[in-house]
Amino acid sequence: MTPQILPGENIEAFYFGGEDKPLFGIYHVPPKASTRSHGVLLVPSIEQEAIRGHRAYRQLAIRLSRLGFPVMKFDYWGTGDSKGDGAIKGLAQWQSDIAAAIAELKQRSKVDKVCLAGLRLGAALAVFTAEKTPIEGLALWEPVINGESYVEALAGWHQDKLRYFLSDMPDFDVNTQPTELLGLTINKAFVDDLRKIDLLKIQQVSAKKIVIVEHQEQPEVAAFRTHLQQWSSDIQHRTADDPRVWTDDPDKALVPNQILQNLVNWFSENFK
Amino acid sequence: MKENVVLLGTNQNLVGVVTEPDQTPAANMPAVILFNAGLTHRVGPNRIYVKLARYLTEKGMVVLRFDLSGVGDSSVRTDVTSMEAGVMDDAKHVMDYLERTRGTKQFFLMGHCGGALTSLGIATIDPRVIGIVMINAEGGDTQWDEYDRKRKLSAYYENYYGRGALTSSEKWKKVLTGKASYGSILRNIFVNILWHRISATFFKLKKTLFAKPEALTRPEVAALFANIPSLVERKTQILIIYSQGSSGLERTQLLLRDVRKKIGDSPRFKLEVMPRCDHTFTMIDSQQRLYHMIADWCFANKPTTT
Repeated sequence: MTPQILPGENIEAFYFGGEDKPLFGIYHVPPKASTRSHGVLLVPSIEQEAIRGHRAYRQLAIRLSRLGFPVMKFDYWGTGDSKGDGAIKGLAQWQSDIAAAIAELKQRSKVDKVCLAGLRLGAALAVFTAEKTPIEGLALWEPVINGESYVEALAGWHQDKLRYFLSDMPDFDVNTQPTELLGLTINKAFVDDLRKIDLLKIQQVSAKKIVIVEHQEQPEVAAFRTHLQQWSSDIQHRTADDPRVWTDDPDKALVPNQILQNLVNWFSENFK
Repeated sequence: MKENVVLLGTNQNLVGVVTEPDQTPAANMPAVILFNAGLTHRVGPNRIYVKLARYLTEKGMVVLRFDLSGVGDSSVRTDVTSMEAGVMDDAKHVMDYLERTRGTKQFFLMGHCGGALTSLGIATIDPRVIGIVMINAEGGDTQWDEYDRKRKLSAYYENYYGRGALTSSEKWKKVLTGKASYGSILRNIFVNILWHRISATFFKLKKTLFAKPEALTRPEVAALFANIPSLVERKTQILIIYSQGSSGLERTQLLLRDVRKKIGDSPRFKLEVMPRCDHTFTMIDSQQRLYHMIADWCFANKPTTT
C-alpha cells in the first residue's frame, strides 16, 4: 500500500553529528513545488520544558513545512533521543549542537539561509548563536533574558514538583546539590552557565529580522527589544495569552494556537 | 550498543527508536516495547524511557520505544477506526516488525501511566506478549484525579504551614503587623487542608466500603484489570510498580481485591511499591532504582527456552 502522508508530515528521522556524539533530528520535508529558500531550525529549551513543549514544536514544524519551509527539530546531547546519559557539563556542548544542527539542515534542505526559532532557553541559545553566526531571522518565544532568575524558577519548580507528591521532601537547593534539576543530570558548571545568561549583554546579532512572542509583556523583554535595536532594524513584538505549554501537563495536549499562528505568519511574511 | 530510528506502520507514520546490543541477543530473550506515557512523546517523562531502554540494552535486550499514531512525532491515522483499535493495530505493526527483522517471537510490554494500561490491553489480545510492566498506572478517571488533587494539596499546605510558615519569624511578623493575606491563610487552612482532607477521606471510604468493582473506576479500566486472572492463567508475567503515595496505587489495590481472590499468591503477579519517588520519577536516584527493578524482573522472568 502506498503511504498516505498528510501535508507537512513528510518527515525524515535520523541521527546526525558524528559517531562520537550522535544527535537525534527530525526533518520536515517541504512540498517540492513550493520550497522556500530559508530553512527553519527549532531550537529546544531545557529538557523538562522541551518534553512538555514537544507537541507545540511539532505543530510549528508541520505548519511551517506546509508553507514550504524546510524545518528541522533536534535534541541536544544528553536530552531526548540524542546520545548521552551522563551529566550535562555546561552550555558549550548545546551551543555546538545547534551549530551541528544548522549544518545538517543546510545539507538536507540544500538551502544556505537559516532562521532559528526557540522557546525559553532555546530562544536564549538561538540569540547566542546569532551573535556569532550568520542567521537570517530569529523567532523568540518567551525568551529567557536573565539566567539567575531562570535558575531560581527551575529550582523552585523542581522542589514544588516533588513536594506536591512527597510532602515531606527536604528543601532543594540547586547550589548545594548541583547534580540534578527537573530530571536532568547536571553539574555545577551547567548551573553556572545558566546563571551567566544575560541577553542584555550580547554584543551583536546577525539577524536583521526578529520576532518576540510573549504571553504577557514583561519589562525585561522590553529592555531586550531596545537592546536589539542597535543591530536589527525590524523587531516585531506580539503577545497572546495562550497556555504556557512548557510547564503545563502534557496530557492536556494543549496547543498554543495564537502563538504558533503568530510565528507562522511572521515567517511567511518575511522569508521567501 | 546500536541505536537506530525506524518509521513503522502501513503509512510509515510511527516514529520509533530501536536500541540493541552489538551482539545478537540470546534466542530466548524477549524484546521490550515501551508505550507512550499518556501524551508524552516516546522519550517518556523525565526521559526515563530513553535511559531505561539503554540500561536494558546494556544487559543484552532489544528495546523499541515509539510514538503511537497521533502522539509525539507519529502522524494521525488516515483510516477510520476507533482509538482502541488504532492502538492495537500500531502495537501489532511494531511487534510484527521486530519479529520480521530481529526474529523476536516473545515480548515484554511496558509503559508508564496511560502506557501501563495500553500494555495491559494489548497483552490481553496478543499471545506473543509474555510479560508486562505497568508503571504508575493512573489517570483517565476524573473522580480519582480529583481525589488525588485534594489529597496532595492538603498534604502540601499542611507541610507548608507545619514546617515552613509556623517556624518563620518573618512570616509571623507579617501576620502580627497586618501585612499577611489573611484571606489566603484562612482559605489554605479551611479549604485546602481541612475540607480537602475530609472530602478525600470520604471519597476513599465510599470506594473502599461500598463500591462494586465495576464502579471503582471507569468501566474500561475496571474491565482491563479484570483480565489479569486470565493473563496469569496464560502464564503472562505481570509486574505492577507504583510510587509510594500514588492514588493510582489505592485505586489499583481496590481493583485487585477481586483479582487476588482468583489468582491467589501466583508468582507470576507482583506488585512493588517504590518509596521516595514521585509520579514521573523526577529524582535521578528514583530513576535508577526503577531501571534496576525492571531489569531484575526481566531476567528473572525471561523464558528458559524459546
